[in-house]
This record gives sequence, C-alpha cells and structure tokens, in this order.
Amino acid sequence: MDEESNNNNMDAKQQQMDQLRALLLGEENQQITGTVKKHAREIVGDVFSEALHDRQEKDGSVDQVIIPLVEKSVERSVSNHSEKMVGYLYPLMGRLIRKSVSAFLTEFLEKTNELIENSLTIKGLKWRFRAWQAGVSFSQYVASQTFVYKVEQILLIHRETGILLKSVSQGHGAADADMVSGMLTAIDDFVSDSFNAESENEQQHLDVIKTDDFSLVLKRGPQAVIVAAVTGNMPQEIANQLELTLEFAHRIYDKELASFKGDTLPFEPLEQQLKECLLEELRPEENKANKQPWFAWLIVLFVCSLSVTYGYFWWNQNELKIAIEAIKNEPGFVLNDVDKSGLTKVKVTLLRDPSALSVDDWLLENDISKDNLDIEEKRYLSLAPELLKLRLTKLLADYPELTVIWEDNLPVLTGELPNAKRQALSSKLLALPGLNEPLNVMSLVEVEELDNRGENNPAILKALLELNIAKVDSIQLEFDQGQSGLSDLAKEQLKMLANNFQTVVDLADKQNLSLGLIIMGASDPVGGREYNQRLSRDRARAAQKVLVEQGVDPGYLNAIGLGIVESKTTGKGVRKVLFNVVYFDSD
Amino acid sequence: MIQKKVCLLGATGVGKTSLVKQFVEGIFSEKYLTSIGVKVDKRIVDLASEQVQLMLWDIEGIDRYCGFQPKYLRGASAYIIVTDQTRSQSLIEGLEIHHQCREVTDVPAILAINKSDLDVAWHWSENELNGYSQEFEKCFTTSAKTGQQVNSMFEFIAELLYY
Repeated sequence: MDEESNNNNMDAKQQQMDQLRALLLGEENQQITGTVKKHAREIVGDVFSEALHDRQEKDGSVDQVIIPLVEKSVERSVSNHSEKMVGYLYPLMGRLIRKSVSAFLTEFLEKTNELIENSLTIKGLKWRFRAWQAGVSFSQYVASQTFVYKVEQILLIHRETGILLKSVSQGHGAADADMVSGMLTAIDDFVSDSFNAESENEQQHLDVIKTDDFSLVLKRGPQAVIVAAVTGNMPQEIANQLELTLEFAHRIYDKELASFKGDTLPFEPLEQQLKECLLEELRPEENKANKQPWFAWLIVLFVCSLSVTYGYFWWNQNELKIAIEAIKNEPGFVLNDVDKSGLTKVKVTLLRDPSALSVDDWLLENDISKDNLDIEEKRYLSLAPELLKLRLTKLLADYPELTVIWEDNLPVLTGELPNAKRQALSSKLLALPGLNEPLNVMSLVEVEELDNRGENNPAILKALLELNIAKVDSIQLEFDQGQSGLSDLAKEQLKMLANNFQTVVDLADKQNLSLGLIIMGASDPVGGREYNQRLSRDRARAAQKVLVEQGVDPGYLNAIGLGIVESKTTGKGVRKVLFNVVYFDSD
Repeated sequence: MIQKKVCLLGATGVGKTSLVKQFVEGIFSEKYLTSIGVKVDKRIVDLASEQVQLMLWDIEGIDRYCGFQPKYLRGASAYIIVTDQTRSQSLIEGLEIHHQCREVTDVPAILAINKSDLDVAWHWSENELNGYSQEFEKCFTTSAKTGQQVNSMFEFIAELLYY
C-alpha cells in the first residue's frame, strides 16, 4: 500500500515537473519572458553595479567592453563641444596646472641654486654671504634680488565683446581702460588670425606683451580675460595670483559672464579680488644702500683730492711767483723772466749789479725759501742812484777824511786830502759808473797845506799861487733856468772860493803882484738876448755880493754878464757863473 | 553703466572713420586701422534715464582684396553698414557685407548712407533704397562733414540696445 502511494507521489511530481518544463521552455514560455521583460529594468537595475563588479572580479571583461565605449564618447563630446568642455575643466585644470608650474619653478630654482652655488663669481659669492647674513636660503635671496616689480593696473575683460568688466590701478595716470580693453581684444583677434597654428582648433593668443620697462600679462579664461600691466621683472607669483582671480571670477560670476549683455554693474564687487593682484615688491632699503657705487665714489674722491693738491701747489707756486717778482723793486736788480716750472718750481732769470745785495741775502731778508726756486743770475752795471751811493760809500771807505753831502742824488765831497791822494781819488771817481761830472764832486776837497819850507822861494810861491788860482778858476756855480738866486751848494762853493781867493791875494802880495777876480755870468738861449744879458749879469752880481759878504775886498771883484753862452759840443746853454783870476806885476 | 559693442563696416572710402571721428574724440592713432584692421573708440550716450557707453569698433574698409573678418564682429550688440551715396558700388558691397554678417550674427543692423553733404550720384531709386532698407533696423542719411544725423544715429542705437 505504502509502496503504491509512493509511486503515485513520484508520478505526480514528475507530472508537475513536466508541466513546469513545458511552461518554462515549451512553446508557451513567451508568457514568462514577457512578464520578466516587463520588469527587466527594475530587476537589472537592482543588481547592475554589483553584477558589473562581480563580472569584473571574475574575468576582467567589463573593462574591455566599457573602455572603448567611454573613449569614443569622450572623444566625440570634446570635438563637438570643445568650448564647453574647456569651461567645465577650467577651474580644475587651472589648479592642476598651477601646481605643476609651481613644482616646476621650485625645481628650477633649486637647479639655479646649484648652478650659482658652483659658480664662483664675485656677485654669486656676495649674494651667498648676504643670504647667509639674512638667514634665508640662497635661492630665495636670488629671487628677491631679481624680482623687483609693480603691478600698475589690472583689467578684467569680457572675452567675447572685449568690453571692460572691471579695472583697478595703483595711483593715477592709468590708461583709458575701456579703450585699451577693446584694442587688446582686437589685437588678440588680429594675432590669432594672422598667425594661424597648424591645427585649426589650436589658436594663437597673446600671453605677454613686453616693452622695455613694462609688460602686459594676459590670462585667458573661457569667458573673461584678465590683464596685468606690470613694470619691472614679473615674478611667477603674479601669474599665480592672476590665475586665482580669474578662476574666482569664473566660479562666482559664471552665469553673469555667460549671459553678459553689456551691464558691468554686477562685476563691481570684484574690485577687492582684482586689487589683490596689484602686487609690488620694492627692493629692500639695505640693498639700496649696498648698491652705493663705491668705485665711482673712490674715483670722485681721488679726483677731488688730486684737484685740491694741484690747487694747493698752484696757489703756492703763484704766491712764490708774486713774492719773487718784488725783487725788481730792489736797486741793482732787473727781473727778466719769472715762470712756473713743473708743479712746484719757479724759474727766475735776472740781472744783478755786483754791488747790489746778493740774491740769497735778498731772499733771506724777504723770508722766501730757496727750495723751489731755480735762479739764473747774470751781471750788469746799474746806474741807479742807490747803487752809486753804495759804490761811492765803498770807495770812500779808504778816505775817512772826507764827508759826503748829497744834493738831489748828486754827491759833493768835502774835506782835505794830500795832493797825491786827491789825484788818486779823482781818477777813481772818473772810473766810477753812474757819476756825472766827477770833477765837480771833488771841487770842495781841499788840498792839505804844504810845509812852508820854501816860503820865500819865488818859484814855489809862484807855483802855489798858480795852484790856488787854478782852484778858484775851477769853481763853477750852477743856476736853475731863468734864475739868478744862489743854491746852498753855490753858497758853500762861494764860501770856499772866498777862502781860496784870500790865499791867492796873500800869495800875490808876497810876490808883488796885483790881481783881480773876474766873475762871469752866463745864461742859456731861452728868452731874449737882452733878457739873458741882464740875467747873466745878475748871476755874476749875486756871486759877487756873497763874496763881498764873505769878506773879499770888492776892489778885486769885477762882475760881468757874458749873455748867452752855448757849449758847442753839447749845443746846450750854460747857466753858470765862472771865475777867472787875472794878475799882473804891480809895477 | 551699460556698455555696448558696435561695429562699423563698409566698403573702402565710404567714411566710417570720419563718422567715428565726428562722434568721438579718440586716443588711438589711425595707424591701427591699416596695421591690425581695427581701431576702438568709445563715447557715452546720455539717454533719458541712463547712460550707455558705446564701444565703437571701426573696422578697416572691406573690398575684394581684403576679406570680411567676422572675428571682430564677435560680441557686437549692433553693427552699422556704411555706404557712400556718391558711389553705387558701395551699396552693393555694403549689402554683401551685411549678408556675410548675417551668417554669424543676428544683432540689429543699421544702414548709414553717408556723404549727404555731397550731391546724390548713385543710380538707386527711392523704391530700391526702401527695399534694401527693409533688411535693416533703420536707415540714416548721414554726413561726417556736417555732422548731419550722426548723433541721432548713435543715439538711436544706444536707445535700441538699452531698452
């Protein structure tokens, strides 16, 4: 029984299985597949990610299917919507590029650092020392020395229209930003059109416009361009800051930029961000101080001291020249030439009378040092009165019996001398240079009385008489033009003449001779003949009057006027009174 | 302030630069025109309630040797086609340029028939002109020499673009 029921069960199950098989795999299976298809999306959706994951785990075949698909679709998307793609990627790419650039720069600076480290230039060593002093790395110091700059103006320009969205500048005098923006956009268009790249999609754009002392740096975003006008050497820092600001503008004003219709008002708040780009770096003061041009200063100092020294020498030389020139005022010196020679010396050529002061004595007297003088001396004879005095004084040193009276630089000697000595003096005086009429000088020098041993010897008496007559005859009185008055000298001469004449009278008496003295006045031709006749007579009478006063018996005297007397040799008139003794035998 | 970019286009010698000169006091030399093909000037136009700054892009004369440069038109809010009423050809060329512009932009276009101080010397009839004018937002008969209708043209553009 049990066995039968078991068999029945088995059959029923088999039957059900067959029904199920028919249902699933038989002709009627459309119903089920239809139902499953209806919910396929939900069913697959529930397990899609997991299934992908499992399959990838299992044999890695998902990659092989999906990668070509994704690559193709990205390619298509980029080529069709490149501008959009750039827009999407820009904020991300900007950051990535910045990172890579700054990494590159750091590496570059490190390399530069190494390079400079190994180079033994003076500048390199100096900078290294300064960097060590300041406690910064060498590369940092190099950067601080190199990058000195100022961002003058920042422009944010709408890329499509070229319209200025916002500009900020340092101080005044910034260019008209509106028009500059327009022109920059136009120039950029011009560049991108004129210099086409090989590929059509790859267009050329302005990055930096550089002049001698400033640069325009352009950074381009999908919707806007930021431009910085920079003077000096622009560091990477500025480019970074510009990128940051541009990204910021794109992030915050994405919609405004995309739908820009010329209204710049919404971009006003960007002022703060743009101002952050107005960077500047001034060279530190201490560097400025260190930049003193010492070498130039040394040269200036050298030139100054040289000119001061030269000026001192020049002044000294000049003073010496002026001092030495005073020698020309010294009697017996003639200064021919005074000239500077070299830096300190003064060359002098002069003539000196041997009787004058020696040059050394003159220098000593005037307190002038001989060290810088180069003196060439030649001899000459001076006719200066001072020199005559000197010579005469020297000469008269041998004749202490005589005294000298100077009348208008003319000497007159008085005193007594033995005849021989007198003769010697007379010849010496004749040889004395500069002395006019040497015999007149001697006219008052008396001959010493001889002994009276031959007093009664007629020959001696006669000789004595002749000698004394000659004395009287030799006297001549000088007069000024038109004058009949007597000078002091003339009076002195007359005094002596009166004595001499008395001697002559005495001697004549002894020899029984009678005599007379003829006093002859003469005059030059100036004035009329009669006038001169009278003048000559007056001169003779004036002399006669003095002789009478000196005690001469007027009976002996006979004053006559000769009128005009001219010397035939000189052609000059004779303004004189002359004397002549005449004697006869009494009987 | 609202700013608008306006381009001046036309055949060589129709007086675009003179029109701009009549309207603004420029800072850039005209050398730019021959070197890079464009010169930018600006002028603020006072409207009843607002001010509009027109950025005027004076574009080098276009002729058969010097092709039309659509790039300069980019971002323009309007453009002016300038013709010379003493030369029939200038209108044909102007219309050609206009059609080329239309391929890249649909901003308002203004027709300026310039040199109105001189006698009319082209053969276009009133009707023909009216027909061509239909393609434009408005037509002005201007003289850069006397200033006739110059200000009113730019004021019209400013108003058109602002409102």
